[in-house]
Amino acid sequence: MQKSEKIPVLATVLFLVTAIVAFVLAAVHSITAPIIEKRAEEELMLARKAVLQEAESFSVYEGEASFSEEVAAVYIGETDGKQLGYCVNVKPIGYGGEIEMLVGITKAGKVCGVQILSMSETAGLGSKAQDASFLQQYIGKMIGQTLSVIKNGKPGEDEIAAVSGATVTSKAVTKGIQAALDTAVLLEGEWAK
Amino acid sequence: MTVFKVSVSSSPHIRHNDTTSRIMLDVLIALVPALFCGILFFGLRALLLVFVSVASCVGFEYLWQKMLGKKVTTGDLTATVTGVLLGLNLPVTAPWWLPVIGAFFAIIIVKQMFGGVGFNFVNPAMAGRAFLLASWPVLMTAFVAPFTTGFAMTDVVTTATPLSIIKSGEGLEQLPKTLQMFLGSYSGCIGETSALALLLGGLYLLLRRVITPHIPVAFVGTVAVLSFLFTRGSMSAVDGLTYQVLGGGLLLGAIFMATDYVTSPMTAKGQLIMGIGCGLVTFLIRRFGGYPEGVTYGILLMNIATPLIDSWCRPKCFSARAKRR
Amino acid sequence: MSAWKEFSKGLLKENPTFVQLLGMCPTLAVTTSVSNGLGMGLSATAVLIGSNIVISLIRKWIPNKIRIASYIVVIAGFVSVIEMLLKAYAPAVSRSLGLFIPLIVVNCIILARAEAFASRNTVCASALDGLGMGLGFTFALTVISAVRELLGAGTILGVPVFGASFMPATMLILPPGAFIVLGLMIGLIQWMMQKRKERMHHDN
Repeated sequence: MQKSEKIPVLATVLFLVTAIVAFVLAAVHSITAPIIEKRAEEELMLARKAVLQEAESFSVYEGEASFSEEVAAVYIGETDGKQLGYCVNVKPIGYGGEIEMLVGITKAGKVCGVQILSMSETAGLGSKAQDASFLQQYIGKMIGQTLSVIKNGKPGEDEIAAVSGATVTSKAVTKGIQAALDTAVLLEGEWAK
Repeated sequence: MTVFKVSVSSSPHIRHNDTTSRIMLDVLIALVPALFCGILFFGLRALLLVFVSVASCVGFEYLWQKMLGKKVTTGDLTATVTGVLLGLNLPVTAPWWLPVIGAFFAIIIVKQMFGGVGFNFVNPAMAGRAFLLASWPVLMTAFVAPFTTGFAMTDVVTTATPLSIIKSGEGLEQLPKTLQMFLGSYSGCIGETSALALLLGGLYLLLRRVITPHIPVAFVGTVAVLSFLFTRGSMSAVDGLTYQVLGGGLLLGAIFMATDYVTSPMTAKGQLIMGIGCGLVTFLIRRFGGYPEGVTYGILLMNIATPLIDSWCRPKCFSARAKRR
Repeated sequence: MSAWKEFSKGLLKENPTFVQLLGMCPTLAVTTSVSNGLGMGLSATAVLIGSNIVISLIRKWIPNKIRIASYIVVIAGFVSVIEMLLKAYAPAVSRSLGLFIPLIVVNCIILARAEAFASRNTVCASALDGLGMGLGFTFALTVISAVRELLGAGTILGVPVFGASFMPATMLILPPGAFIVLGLMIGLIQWMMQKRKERMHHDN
């Protein structure tokens, strides 16, 4: 089979194989891409609504204020043109990498919703930070509070009880909430505009 | 088709059960002071846990060998020693089933599945503890202060160990005094707190020629020197050294676990290297890692490195010149 | 070999995970829960069947020198298609399998079957081989994940099986647990197969 081993033949066959595969990929992509994008939008919308319940639409904050490094994006939630509060997307660094969270803060400066979008903490330990029983502690915290994490005992006003055996994760989530609260403080002036 | 099983090992090839059990008996005797202190500080539950651990280790080994038709070797007391060491490495608050599972992992998986006595590739008790620590981290680090608990473990208040206080950097005023550290009256695992008891045991083993000082001295010495040089934060260098040497499982590990014959190098030079390696890893984990205690992984890692160390330190034959490699 | 034999050999006798020891990497990483194991196994099966069929179809036209390159392109194409379809129509599965979907490309099972079987056999036989091997792989993944999820998290498919007081051995859903469970399962299955062989010889 010497003839078929010549370079031009090899190159042509490989080119054909690759071209056909690429064509199929492009076809599938054109069908699925819009669906994937729509899903991503829907998910983001769902998450934002979950943390800031009354808002009906969100717009990205594009002002000049500079936020702490954990803040990835800030959305302003509004209903009927009235601004209701913020959704702050924070990404603090936990035990196993970035924890992406969405924090809803009302206009009055109160935390009204927390959702963890993605995390890679230790299964069975840090992953328990996603439990409602843990995140519930953050609801109601106000701007102006400085939150700290405690391991034992009943937590006070400014304290959060850590997930048993996962202090680093608990501290990271708290840092994210704190960053969101601080962001709300920075933007307080913006409400007036 | 019959399968021939050929066992390959280096000399000496003659192994006598008696000698092993005599050595193991010495180790058990050397562990009595530490066990006594454990019971003194943490109550009778400590004794129960160690007993359950020993019974499980011996039981599992017996069952395994009986079920697979092998010769039963529980008389060589190696499983008993593993049981005692595993028990001493638990906090007194551990539920009874914890040492049972640890014993299963140590004896069946780490020891018997790899070939039994002489073939384990890491220290079984240490591996058992590592398995328990990774599986039930909260249970394995629920330490209590001495003289505070009854048998039933109700209403226990968990206390931080000295090493975890130092690691967190907060509450340094609560650290026990040096004398307390030496005698063992502070929170920790059942058998690891009393430096006095462990040193007595170590002295006995040295006098009986069961262990040589190379590994323990190199291990403890490395941790001491590194802790002295790199003390954290506001503690004085001497304090830093004292707490790191007396606190945690360093003395228990260095004297009783790192010196296990099967999993440590054969030559003196190799043993020194292993001791230094253990000390280095322990220090690095304690200082920069996620845990306040690093002895477990220090010993396990150096166990795994032992064949490599042995090949580096192969003793020269008589009258042969050192080969140039 | 009969059609049934082509299909069934992948299930146990030549099981890719327990006998051929192929695809160890995704096996270790993905078997933290039954739903992950099943999802990965079925996705890999889809790719396996597809790539086996295509490679068998074009086997006569691919010159020897570039066969590996061509197979990889075909396999990568299938994986990309599966990835896009999952993202669009089963986003939950796609998210939990995450990085391991694109890694199906380098799953040894697929290239091994392409090279060892699909490139030398008919389309029908290749399809059956792909189905059998894929299902054998899925079976292996499911069994291993069941053990790991049950003992390491106390749940099956996310449903708690034991009471609230059960304390699972967390290490089993961590990497060391993966190695240990996989090793023990391979040992168990090999031992069972050996016992069966001895009994069959004994009966002869």
